[in-house]
Amino acid sequence: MPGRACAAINAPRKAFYRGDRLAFAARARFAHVVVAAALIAAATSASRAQEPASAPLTDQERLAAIDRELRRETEREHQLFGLARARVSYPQLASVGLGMLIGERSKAYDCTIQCEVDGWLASVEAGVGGAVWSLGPAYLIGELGDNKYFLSRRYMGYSVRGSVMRTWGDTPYRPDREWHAGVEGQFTVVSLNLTLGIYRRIGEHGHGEPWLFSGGIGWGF
Amino acid sequence: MGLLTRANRGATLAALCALALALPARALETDQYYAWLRPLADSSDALNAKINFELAAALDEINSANGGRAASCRDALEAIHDRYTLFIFQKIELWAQRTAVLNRIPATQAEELEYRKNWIYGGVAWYDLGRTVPPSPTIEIAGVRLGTDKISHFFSEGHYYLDWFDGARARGLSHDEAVEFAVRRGIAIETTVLGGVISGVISPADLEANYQGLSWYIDLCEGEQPLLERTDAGWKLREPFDLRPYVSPEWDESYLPNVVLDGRWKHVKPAILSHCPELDDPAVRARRAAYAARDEHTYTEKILDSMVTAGELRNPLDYGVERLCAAAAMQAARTDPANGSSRQ
Repeated sequence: MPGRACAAINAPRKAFYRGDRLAFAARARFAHVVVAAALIAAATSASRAQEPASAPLTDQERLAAIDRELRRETEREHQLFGLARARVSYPQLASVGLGMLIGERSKAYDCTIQCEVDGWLASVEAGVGGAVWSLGPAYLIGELGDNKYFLSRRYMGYSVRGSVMRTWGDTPYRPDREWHAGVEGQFTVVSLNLTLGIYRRIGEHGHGEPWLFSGGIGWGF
Repeated sequence: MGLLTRANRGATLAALCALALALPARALETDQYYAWLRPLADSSDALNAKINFELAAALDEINSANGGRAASCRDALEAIHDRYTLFIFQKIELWAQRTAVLNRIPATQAEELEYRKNWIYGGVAWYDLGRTVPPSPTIEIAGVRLGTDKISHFFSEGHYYLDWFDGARARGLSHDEAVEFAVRRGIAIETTVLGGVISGVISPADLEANYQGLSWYIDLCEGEQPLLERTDAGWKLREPFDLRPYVSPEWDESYLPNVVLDGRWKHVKPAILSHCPELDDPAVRARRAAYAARDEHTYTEKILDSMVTAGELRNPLDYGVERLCAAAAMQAARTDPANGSSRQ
């Protein structure tokens, strides 16, 4: 038994060295299940020795097991995800941003392949014409792929966030070095990102139109 | 290209308006050829359990307010619909791709990545939508292998059909006329915008699932004994949902093939041809024989056939594995008579 357990533990390591990290993750879980099952089997073997072999599940037991799993899938847990986006927008012109999505997903499965995440997105984005800090609720269907934290694929998502913007540089139609506060909405489908926002100048040093409409198109979330 | 030589202007306009909303299920393609040689256990009980789980939750929600007395049957229907659908990606399919209770191909995350590389649409151009969104896995229900996208079609596009059906009824069409109107509109959208422009794939199998979804939605609130009934405890289903009677071999895209437009076809055709040797596999032959034995000329097929006859649609069977393999074998025989074993 110990030999088999070691082999089971080594299997995912070998997969990892082959460079297949997903296979590694999957096999690691499998190996843990195998080891756990072996330990449970060893611990209970003495008491089972006098019992008849376990019968296959009846239909009723099988349906009960399915029902238990369906209920387990509704349980949620938190996870932190990294996000990125690059876009062309007004007034930032060309910009790149990073975000953190703290969201809830089903406890039953991770986000290696498609999952839906419901949570809060905080991001910071800097561009030629300014920078934006945002925070707000977000919903996203995406997947980690072979990343551990970074959502490498974003299939569909949306968010509405409170934002603060600082303009700088050569922003067309706007004086630079202004602070604005507003709301920005974004929608992403298969990584195509669309944003729309409305801001109002804050602070006393600005001049001209206090309202600013922003919009952009790009990649990411 | 002569795909749809007589455009239905009304349907096309409706298609354009519905484009953003109807994109969802069509964004996902599937590949049953990939699953041909792989064993797969039936998942009918598990899928039915999930659907009934959500049905119960939807009705609990409706009945929680004043015992459901203020809610109409349509309200209950909409609450049910909302449990399975979303925008772009459908809840029921997201679940189907992840859950442990369904037997599916690919079964593991590692297999999923391999599937994405090797499925029949895996070789299409980098900008193709088929490469951007993940393919639907295959499950088996009532002896039929189908993509999980069919469940989305059943609940999502079946509901679009219901809206068109209701609109037609409101304009005075009979029940049967309204059904035909809804199905034809679905086909028109599939052949023009969704299949013709967005995905480059026209899927009669998807249309079958759409139609069956419409049938179920209609039965929820109409007929002599609607499936939904109002009781003292609120709205409830007369009997648990069972998907099996709605599923037919036409839901298997390797049996009722897709029409694939030219840009994609040059990539997809070789992928289908690579499965020719598998046609001789006993399991594949047995499955296809079982399909043939229970195959019926469905409502949607009759309309599609009339369109093929009228030259409005390419014949889906020309894109099927049997014909392609037979043609390839004949061509090989002509090229090399010594190797001329032709199939069928």
